[in-house]
Amino acid sequence: MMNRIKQSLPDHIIFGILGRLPGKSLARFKCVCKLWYAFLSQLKFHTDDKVILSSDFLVQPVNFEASSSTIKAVQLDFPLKVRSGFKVIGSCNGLLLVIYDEGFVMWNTWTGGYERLSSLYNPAENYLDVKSYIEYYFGFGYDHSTDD
Amino acid sequence: MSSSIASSSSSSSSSSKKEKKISLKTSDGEVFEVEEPVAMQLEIVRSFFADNEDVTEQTVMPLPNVSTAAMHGILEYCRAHEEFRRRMPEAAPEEEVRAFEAGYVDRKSNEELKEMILAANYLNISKLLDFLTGVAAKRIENKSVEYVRAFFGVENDFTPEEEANLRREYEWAFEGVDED
Repeated sequence: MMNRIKQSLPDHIIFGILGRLPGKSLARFKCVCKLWYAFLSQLKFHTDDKVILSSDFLVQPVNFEASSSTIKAVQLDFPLKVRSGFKVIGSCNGLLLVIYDEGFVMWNTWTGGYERLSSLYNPAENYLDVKSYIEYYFGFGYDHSTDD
Repeated sequence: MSSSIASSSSSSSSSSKKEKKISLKTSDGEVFEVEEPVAMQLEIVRSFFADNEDVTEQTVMPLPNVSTAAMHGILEYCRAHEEFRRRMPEAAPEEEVRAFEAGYVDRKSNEELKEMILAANYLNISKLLDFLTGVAAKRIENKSVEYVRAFFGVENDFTPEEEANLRREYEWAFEGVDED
């Protein structure tokens, strides 16, 4: 019988493997250890290879791989409980501005993180009425000084 | 260069023109005689023979970071791909390659998979490394945090409070995780 020593993989290979995982796995694996948390927290979407398609209940980031001309669509799980659907209003590098029945959410589809933007919208108003015109008024701004 | 037959058994036993073989010695001392086109898929071997003018066909190249078990797996993959290339020089039939690759990894345990990833990394076979890391990603994608710690041999260095807080924060990511 061969004596097989348990070997661990070097970090660059492990991180290469993690880089192939969907956002939901990455969010879960932030709980593995501190190094992984730090690595996974700083991951960002590449700006040039993702296009976000969406309908009221479905968000699909589409990867265009220029070299192989294949298109891969992956369904994302919206991190919040939704009663009546949601709508993507804007997107930027995998960061989505989403409106749903309880207000606005900034959703990072890469890490699975999200932040409610409660000051923008009063959830007492009817969601369906609001969403029909609201997309004309909101978009992304970018502040170079804070990279935000 | 003579065109060689990649399959390991019952091939060129009676051919008069001997195909060129490269000798590779694993960490546990076993010497593999490998058909040249197959051996040249190992970038470390290709550059060793390209960069050293004084090596001959008799030179046995030592590979101290590759076990015999890993070498068997590596060669099985490289021989199959050489066979695809030889039969279909233009483009290997996608479905056949997929079918081979699926059957190939099904038989490998997690430990064997990791050992082969290390070997493919050391031998610098980018195609195989890319394929194997993709397989590893698929195997852990739906697994629990505990499974993944064990898979990679990673130590949990969070305090219980820190971990509990993180699990709360990412609660949605823990739905639908595999049982094992």
